[in-house]
Amino acid sequence: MTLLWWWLAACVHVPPWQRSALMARCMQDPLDPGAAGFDGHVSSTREGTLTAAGGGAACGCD
Amino acid sequence: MRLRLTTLALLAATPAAAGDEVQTRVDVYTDGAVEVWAPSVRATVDRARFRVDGGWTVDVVSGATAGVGVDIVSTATTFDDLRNQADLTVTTRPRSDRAVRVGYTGSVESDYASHAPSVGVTADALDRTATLSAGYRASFESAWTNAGDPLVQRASAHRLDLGWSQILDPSTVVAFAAAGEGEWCGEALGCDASPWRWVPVRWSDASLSLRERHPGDRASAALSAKLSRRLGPIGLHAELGGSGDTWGVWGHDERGAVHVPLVGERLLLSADGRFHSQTAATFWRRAYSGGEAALPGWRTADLELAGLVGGAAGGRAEWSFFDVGPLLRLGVSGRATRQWYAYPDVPLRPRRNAWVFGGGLDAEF
Repeated sequence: MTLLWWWLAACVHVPPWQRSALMARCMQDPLDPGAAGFDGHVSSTREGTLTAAGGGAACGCD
Repeated sequence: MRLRLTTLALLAATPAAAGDEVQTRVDVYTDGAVEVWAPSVRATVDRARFRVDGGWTVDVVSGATAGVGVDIVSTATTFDDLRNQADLTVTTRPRSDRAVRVGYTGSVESDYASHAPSVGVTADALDRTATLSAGYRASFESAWTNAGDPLVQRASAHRLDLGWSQILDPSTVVAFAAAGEGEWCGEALGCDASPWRWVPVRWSDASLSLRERHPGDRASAALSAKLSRRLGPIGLHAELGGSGDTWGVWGHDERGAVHVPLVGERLLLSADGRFHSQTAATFWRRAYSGGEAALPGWRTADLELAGLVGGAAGGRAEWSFFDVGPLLRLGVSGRATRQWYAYPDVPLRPRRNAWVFGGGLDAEF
């Protein structure tokens, strides 16, 4: 993990003005959090298992 | 009418500012035996230093027959029921690259109540190409029957989430997430057991119906990895996940989605698919029978503990009107998804196929 962090710090340079493609609506997923919440409620009832979904695809552009 | 009035009140009460949003939507689930209508409204106020997000959802559940024998929407749901759920999250940003949030979700129905406070932090790093997140959520649940039965099943759960999303290049983002959860439910029925479910047991020469009884605690862990990539105007998303728990249930999950903007980004078409598989709990049996001296201590009639495979495929369309009066965007959307589940280890190999429909109206200020 430390090596990966070091590699990212050394090699990933994406300045803010190059991140516009990541801000597009098509890069949001899920597109509709309300619908995703309903689907998640249904699937958790059907499956009952834990899901890890804490990592949204942030664009770092706030 | 009430929903419309609430929406109009929220629209009127929200001052015009970038990032404010009001959403209304209705989702419908139907599998032939059970139907759920779920209208909801959500409002977000977003400022430089804080964000407030709240929502309210109603699940109107109705069942055509009561002979299915397993629950549909929650582990304590009867047919013909009403569930109200409300949530509120307040996020503060002490610095532009840090955020702290506090939230609460409450849910009530005729035989079930849940209260769930949560806290979380996020931080940007590596020149804001990375976002790290951590969250904690506690939930306290009660389930009971309404037939003069004094039994009340209480449970508490504590969940920890960790997340890391990382920009790799101007068109690619990856995200990793990990979650751990512990549930403590007492020994009366055990975790995730329903006071409505009874299990047929053969003991000696007799056939008995015993209340479902699960282990009194359950610990689970899950991991996921997600890749999002922009190819021209198209957004592609792929996600892999896996989970395991102390009941011996191991699952994996694959999901993909593609979002295609058309007509100058006014029209957004989406397609997505999902596949899921999980093993049976160690104490699940095709049929239960008692030994010479004792009845089976743990027993279940819950199909989700029998091992299953499932999937879903669907599509969504959204049309956006830009700069409509005070609105930056007004979006109208509709979707349809086909779901299926199969239980290959259960006698008669039942299947459960369902449709999910939804429509929504989003207003951004």
